[in-house]
Amino acid sequence: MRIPSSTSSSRRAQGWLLARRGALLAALLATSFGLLVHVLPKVPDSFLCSYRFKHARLTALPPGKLIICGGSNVAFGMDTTQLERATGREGVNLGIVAGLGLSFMLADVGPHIEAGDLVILAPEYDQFSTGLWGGTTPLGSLLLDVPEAWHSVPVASYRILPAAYLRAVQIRLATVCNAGFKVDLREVEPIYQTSSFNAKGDVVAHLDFAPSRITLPDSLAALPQGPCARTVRLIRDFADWCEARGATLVIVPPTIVESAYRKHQAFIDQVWADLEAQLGSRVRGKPTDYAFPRPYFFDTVYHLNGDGVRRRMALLLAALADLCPEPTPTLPEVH
Amino acid sequence: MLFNSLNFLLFFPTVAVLFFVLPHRWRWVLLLLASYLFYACWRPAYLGLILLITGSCYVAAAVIARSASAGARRIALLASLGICLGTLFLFKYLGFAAETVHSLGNVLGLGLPVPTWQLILPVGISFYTFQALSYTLDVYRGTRAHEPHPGIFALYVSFFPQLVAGPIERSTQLMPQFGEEMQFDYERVVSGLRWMLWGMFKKVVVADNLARFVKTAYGPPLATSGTSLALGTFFFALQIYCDFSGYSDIALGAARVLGFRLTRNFTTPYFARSFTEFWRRWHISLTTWFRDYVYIPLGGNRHGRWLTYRNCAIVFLISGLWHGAAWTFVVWGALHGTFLIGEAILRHHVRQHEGHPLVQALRQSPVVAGVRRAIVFVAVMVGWVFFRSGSLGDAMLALKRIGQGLLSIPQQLAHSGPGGFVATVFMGHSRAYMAVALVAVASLVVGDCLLVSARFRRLFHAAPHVVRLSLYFGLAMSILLLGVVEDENPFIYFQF
Repeated sequence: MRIPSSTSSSRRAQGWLLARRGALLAALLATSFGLLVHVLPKVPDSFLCSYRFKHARLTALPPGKLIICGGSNVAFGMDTTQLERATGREGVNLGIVAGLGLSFMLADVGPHIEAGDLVILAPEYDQFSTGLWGGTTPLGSLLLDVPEAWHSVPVASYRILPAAYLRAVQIRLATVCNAGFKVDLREVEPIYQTSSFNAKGDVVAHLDFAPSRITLPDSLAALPQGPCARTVRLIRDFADWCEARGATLVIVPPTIVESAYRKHQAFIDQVWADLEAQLGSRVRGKPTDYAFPRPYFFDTVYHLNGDGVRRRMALLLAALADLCPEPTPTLPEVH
Repeated sequence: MLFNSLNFLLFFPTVAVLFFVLPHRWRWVLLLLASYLFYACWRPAYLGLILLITGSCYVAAAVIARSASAGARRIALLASLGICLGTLFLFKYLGFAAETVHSLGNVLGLGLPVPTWQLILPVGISFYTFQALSYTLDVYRGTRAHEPHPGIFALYVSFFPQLVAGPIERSTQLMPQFGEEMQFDYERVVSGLRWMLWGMFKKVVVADNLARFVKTAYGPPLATSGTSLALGTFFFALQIYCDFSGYSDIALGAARVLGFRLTRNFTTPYFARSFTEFWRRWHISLTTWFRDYVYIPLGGNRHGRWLTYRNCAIVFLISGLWHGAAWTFVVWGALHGTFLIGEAILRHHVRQHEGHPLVQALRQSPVVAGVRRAIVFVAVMVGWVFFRSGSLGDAMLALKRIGQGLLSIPQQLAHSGPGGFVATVFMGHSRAYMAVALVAVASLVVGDCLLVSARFRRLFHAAPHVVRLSLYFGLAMSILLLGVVEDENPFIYFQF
């Protein structure tokens, strides 16, 4: 095609020509990318795919249910059955991974909150940093394998979504390449897969494993200079939402290995003080109480083993005593 | 705002469309506001620094231009130098100076207090400070007239395509262009977009992927093997080239889309056959800045060989320091100064035998040219070890390990076989990663070779539109599928 010469009307024609060709290139890229996503093998039994059965349970439970929200600190750190017995409610543990972003987690559970529900939220300290507030690659991976989760993505997460989704596609492509271009990509990882959860949504496959060497350093993801006001505001808005719907929200600290807590104590305590100031009696427990020694942990600074879960549950049940219909049996302290 | 970000993908087309829609007399306002917005996205408070540098240089140049008194002109120049270099010193070198004094004090047993202050280095300060200073110096020397329009001068200092990592433009080259009425031209805009696409490919596909391996190889406590370190150094040589030249290409392309011509900062430097040629091909705008404002005022090569060597040494020590406030950078600069001086001495002796047939034959031999390229490349890589290492001790340890590792390659091959050897060298990185690294390096070599070929350029421009579209599609798809998308790899030269 001959490029029009340079007069003002022809410059306009040149501009439109560039726009058309740019649009053609963009369309080709979008189509190719879409086709690639469509043909990429999915991982139906991944850890993230537990989202499906957790949501199925959430929608099946009647009003007055118990909902546990958070990242992998609640996936690897709760005994939902024990909480059900203590509170007299049927429950579901929605925890998967903090990388989904707090804004996604709260937007995802929000529409399912009904009058009489009890919601326990344990946000991880990393989620007070701008990086994990909106979500990162795990959100992209979730959307790749569980397309129905797109409905829950809040507007606030749109900004990070292109990079997160693109990164998830790249990782999947690399996985396919490393697996020798096999189509069946079932998880062979012993713990991080859907079958490691029980029916209530707790990870149980690892409970009897001996405490492993914690592979992550005793530090959290990059934290901002000071507490992230946006995260506190998000939780406050969520608290208002729960109250408007007649549900009770309780915010508890995540369990974290003692050395990591000490390393970031100033930040963590400030964050918790902010939450207490803004949310009052909804906030229960102190971060220091939930900072456990290493032997209680499985493989990261947040993931508890069997002993750790038992210790955490003792603290939690004491904190929720007023919400339990019967006196809570006192559990022996586990060292 | 990073070039490889969603923000820039929205920012640049908006600015470009508005630029061509607006009447010419308002375009400088748009570009100035856009440039300040571009910089403020990183840290709004540091906009004040650009305004300080801009204001001080503008006022100084105005005084220099209007004053008849030599004393007043000198004072104005010194004030401008003081403010610009003082600001640079405060943010970039004060901590380093304090640590050096503290270390010296420890050696002398003085027990000086440990320096604790930490100022965040403003992105691009070394670049826009030098750019603004070059204007003041040119006005002082009389090589250009003072620009009466403060907005145009402010735009010259802060023009967003080259604001944070160059090229360092001269006022005589860039400023007059702001007065030209740029028209939309399809071929020029496509050429600019093509530069941006290639620059983005070099940055996110080549540089950022190689950075993963380099980070592992040079990670503390340098526990990697010599062969892995050697590969890491090779990858770093490509990483820093692609990172910096990629940025420069995006800057050139963005400016070209708008109609402005910036200086090419890199012309395949690793093909250089001598260190002199290397520095004519690498970071050209900085090299010429040092040549015009440091080397020539010191006397250049006009006062005999030994003073020439001295001037060369001073320039490269300062250049090393410009790159970073650490002794590793000073040593890097000193190494390059040593290479150049050594080369000059050798050239001097060779010239004395210029007519000898052997010398003539060696000059024309392609094998010798290849050997020379290899020697320059290896020497430059030795310099990169210091550039990349966290300390002089780490650098020396790395060099020692690399030497031992390379010498032990036959043993390693015999012990583990080729497959095992490759896996060891790649330190457990996956097959997918190795494939990406190989593709990235191959693409870079092929791409750079083709770009310097006039024949390829003719063929490309004559090719049907669908062929060119396929190439753009291939590059863009590579960026999407192989490009690193996290923020963990900001442009290396942002730290300068």
